[in-house]
Amino acid sequence: MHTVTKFLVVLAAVFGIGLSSLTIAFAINNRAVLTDYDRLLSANAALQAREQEAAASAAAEADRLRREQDALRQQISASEAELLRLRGDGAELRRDKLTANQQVTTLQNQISQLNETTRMLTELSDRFAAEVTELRGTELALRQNEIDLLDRISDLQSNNEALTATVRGLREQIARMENDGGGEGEAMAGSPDITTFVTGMIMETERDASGATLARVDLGTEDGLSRGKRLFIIRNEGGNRRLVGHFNVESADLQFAEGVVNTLGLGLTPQRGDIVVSDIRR
Amino acid sequence: MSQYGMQMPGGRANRGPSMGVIDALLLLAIVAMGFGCYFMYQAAASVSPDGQPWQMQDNDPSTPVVLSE
Repeated sequence: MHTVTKFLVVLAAVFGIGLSSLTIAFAINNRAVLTDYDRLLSANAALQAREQEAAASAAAEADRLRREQDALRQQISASEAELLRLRGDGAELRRDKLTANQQVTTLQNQISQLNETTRMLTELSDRFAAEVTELRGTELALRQNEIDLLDRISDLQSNNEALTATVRGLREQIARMENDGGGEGEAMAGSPDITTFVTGMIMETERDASGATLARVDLGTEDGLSRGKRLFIIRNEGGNRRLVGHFNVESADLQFAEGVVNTLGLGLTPQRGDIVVSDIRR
Repeated sequence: MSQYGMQMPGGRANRGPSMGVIDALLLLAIVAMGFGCYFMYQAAASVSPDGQPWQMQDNDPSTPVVLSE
C-alpha cells in the first residue's frame, strides 16, 4: 500500500470518527432541544388557553364594570340632583335658622322686658300689699271712728227728736196762746198744719224723663207737710227776693219731703239753696 | 505469485505501489467528510449549551435547554 494511501486512510478514519461523534452529540442535543420545544409548545398552548380564559373573564368583568359604571353614573347624577335639592333645602333652612335666631333674639328681649316688668310688678305688688295692710289698719281705725260717730249721731238724733218734740210742744203752746189771746185767725187744733209758717231750703233738684223738675226740701211731716200741700220757692238775690215757682208735695217723710216744681212760666230754674216758705206774705 | 511477494527469475523488476482509483475515491471521501465535519461542527455547536459541540444538554425535562449565543 502506498504511503499516501495509508495517510489518506488514517485521515479518513479520523474524519469518520469526528463526524460520527459530532453527529451523535448533535442528535442528543437536538432531541433535548426538541423535547424542550415540545414542552414549551404545550406550556404555550396552556398559557394561550389561560390567556383566552382570562381574556373572556376580563371581558365579562369589563362588561360588568361597565354596567356598574353606568349604574354609578346614574347614581352620581341622582346624587348630584339630590345634592342640589339638599343645598336648596340647606339654604332655606339657613334662612329659617336666621329668622329663628332673630325671633329668639326678639323673644329674649321680650322675655327680658317681661322679667323687668315682672320684677317691677312684684315690687308694686309688695308695695301694694304694704299699702293695703296700712290702709286696712287705717280702715279699721276709720270704721271704729265711724262707729263712734254713728253712736254720737244716734245720741244727737235722740236729742234732736227730743228737742223737736219740745219745739213742737212749744209751738202748739204758742199757737194756742195766740188763739186764746188774740182771737184772730182760724182755730188750729191738733198737729201743726201748713197754715203754720214754716221755712226751709231745697236740698237737691233733678229733672225726670218727662222734663218735670223734682226737688227735695228739708221740711217734713214734723213741719206739717203732707201730700198735696204747696210751698213757695223764693230765691234771695242780693237782698231781693224773687219768686221761682211752686213746690207741690208728692211724698213727705218725717224731716224731708219730695215734690214737683211748677215754675209758673217765670223762666227761673229751682236750684239747691233756694228757700221754700209756706206763706209768701211773711 | 507476485501477490505473495515472490520474485520469479526473469520477471520484471519489482516496482513500488502506485496511486489508483481507490486512492482518488478515498481522497474524495476525505474531502466530503471534511465538509461534513465542518457543517456538523457548526450544527452541534449551535445546539450545545456553551458552544462546544460535544457538550451535552441536561436530561432533566423540567429545566429548559440552554443554547449558545
